[in-house]
Amino acid sequence: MSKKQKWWELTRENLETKEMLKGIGYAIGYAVAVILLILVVTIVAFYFTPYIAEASEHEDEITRTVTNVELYSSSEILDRSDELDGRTLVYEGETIGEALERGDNAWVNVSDGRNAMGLWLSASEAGKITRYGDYRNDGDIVRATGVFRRSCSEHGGELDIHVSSIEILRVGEERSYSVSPSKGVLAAVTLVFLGGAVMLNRRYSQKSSKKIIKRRRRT
Amino acid sequence: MLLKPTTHDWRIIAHYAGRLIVAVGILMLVPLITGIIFGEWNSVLDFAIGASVTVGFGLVMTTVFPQTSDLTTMQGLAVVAIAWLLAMIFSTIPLYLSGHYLSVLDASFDAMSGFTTTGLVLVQDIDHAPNALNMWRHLMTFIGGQGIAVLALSVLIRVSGAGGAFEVYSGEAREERVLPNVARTARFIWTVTFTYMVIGVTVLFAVLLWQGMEPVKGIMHSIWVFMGSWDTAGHAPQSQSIMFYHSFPVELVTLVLMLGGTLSFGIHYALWHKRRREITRNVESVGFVISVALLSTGVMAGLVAAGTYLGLGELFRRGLYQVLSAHTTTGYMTIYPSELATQWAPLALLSLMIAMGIGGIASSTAGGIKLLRVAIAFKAFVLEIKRLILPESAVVKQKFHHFGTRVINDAVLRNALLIFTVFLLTFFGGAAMGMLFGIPFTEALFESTSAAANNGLTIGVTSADMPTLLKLTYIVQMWFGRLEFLTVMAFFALVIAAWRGR
Repeated sequence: MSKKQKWWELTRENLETKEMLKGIGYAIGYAVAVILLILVVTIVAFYFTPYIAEASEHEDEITRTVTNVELYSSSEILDRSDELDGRTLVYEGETIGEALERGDNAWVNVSDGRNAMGLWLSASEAGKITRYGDYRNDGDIVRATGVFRRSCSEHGGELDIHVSSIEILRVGEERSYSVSPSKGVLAAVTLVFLGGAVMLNRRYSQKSSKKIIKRRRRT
Repeated sequence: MLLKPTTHDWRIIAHYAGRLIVAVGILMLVPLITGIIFGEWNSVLDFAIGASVTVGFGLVMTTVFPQTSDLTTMQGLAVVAIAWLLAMIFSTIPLYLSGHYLSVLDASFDAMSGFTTTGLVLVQDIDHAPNALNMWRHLMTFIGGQGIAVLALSVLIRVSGAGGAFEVYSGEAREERVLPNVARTARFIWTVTFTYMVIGVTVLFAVLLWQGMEPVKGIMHSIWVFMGSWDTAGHAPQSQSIMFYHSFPVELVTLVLMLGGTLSFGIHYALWHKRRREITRNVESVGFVISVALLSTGVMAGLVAAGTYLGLGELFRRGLYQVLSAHTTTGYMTIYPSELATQWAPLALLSLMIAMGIGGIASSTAGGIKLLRVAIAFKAFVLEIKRLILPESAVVKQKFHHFGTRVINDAVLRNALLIFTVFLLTFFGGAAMGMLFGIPFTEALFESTSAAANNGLTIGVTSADMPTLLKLTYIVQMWFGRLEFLTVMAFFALVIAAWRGR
């Protein structure tokens, strides 16, 4: 590099020579300066419009009494896991995936829309469930009563609920999907675009390859 | 004098970026076929639209900007940086059309997270997602982990006799050529991957059947979990990550696959050719073992001291699993994100963050600073200590083994420290951005480190509710982290040159 070069003068030659790293160092310096400037502007902007955290304001976080034990949402269970550890509670949600049977027992995953939790229950109780949620199905909505463990020693420290009884609140049903006509039209248009691009490419490629062959013959 | 890039430069960059994009578009046929098999017709249309637009755009680019010469280093790096951005943009199309994202930005976030094998996700209602969508989510991690350029070099770009292939290859944070020819190297990478894929999917399928899963779901889950583990991405087909299976055997298989994925393809090559001593001598594999041992101790000590987990089984399945998931930058979790925030002691969290930051082995599918750079920095530190305690006339050298004995010199050290420093700046820069939005320091640093190191472990910050600016910050961090800065910086340098040059 010449002595009179300025700090931003990052040339292609620099990058192609031994001084590549040095040149990129300049670029990083430049980028850091820009990022710092953006940070300062953002700090000033947010100083006047402070962000209000809404993380804990979940509408579904309701607690109510159901047959002497309390109903908790998954968010509440996770947030208050120390306090609820070892207590009998009620948890409601949709069964998802499938029952994973392990001998006389089974794991059933139940989602309340925020999180899914693992329920450990007898295979006979799991047998009450008629449908599990996936792309094709809405799973049963169940109400499970059982003992919550923050770190279950029986299951390698898993956070789970050992369910004593399960009640089907709403039987799941098959989901119906209709093919979107607008998507069909869009797909047709994009396929025409693809066809045009392929034709253009093939035609041009033939021309350019002919040119290359001609050039080679001349030389 | 600053030289403005010529029209020729831009044309050649556009040509090669177009080729890489065609490769991405063609791969959208895999979820499309998956959709046809499972009768998910809306998804079929989503991917037909996505594939048509992507391949069409790529073909137009390659046609309008024909190849007239080989790539230079600068052009090669710019091609990779642009191709990764374009891959994110085009992959957003089917994701957003699926209806499982609240905004285009959320879909773009997941696309970048997929390609960079990060694993932070904003997808909604994934438990009801179609198989085609899940296939694409995991396939993106598979392509990204192997490298978009690696894919193109092995399939689409005929590089026999063509220069510039190495520039594109190395632009994806891969410096070592396993074989003399880059195209053959790329094919070796795929050979290793497909071999492990056959073994991994078979074992996972058998384990999932044994653990009570039905066969069709079992085969799909085993393919996806293989991709998530081997490519150290941490994507999972269910919202509970690996916890969905409630299975120690599944956790064990994923651990083995994660470790396989975090080994460099150079080490795989050595192992395939029965040079087993390489793994016991290589500074990275040795460093990985030492680092895992130290950081596991930190995590275990933190968890035991806080009384979070006390039994050996609990410490292994909840503690060590998270350490290995963090260190390999996979991001699979056997605990809920909120447990990290509320149950894990600061020492355990710090150890986990260090594991995430260091990441895996260079030239593997893993992200992070990489052990090679950490080892070089450590060796350089030892070298300086030696210089201080030995007589001034003594000639002091520090060697390390990395596919042969190498000496630490200024160039090696400068390269390692440069990337090391920029990673640290990015970790803290992202944390600062998080703190601007009221997120506490620890949580902000954890999530920022996870994004920049392409990890995917989350402490609960990443959600569709988070501010737009923070989503953009994490997208940039994931992009920078996966390409290890130099590639993206070279692209920016080109843009600056176009702006300021003559």
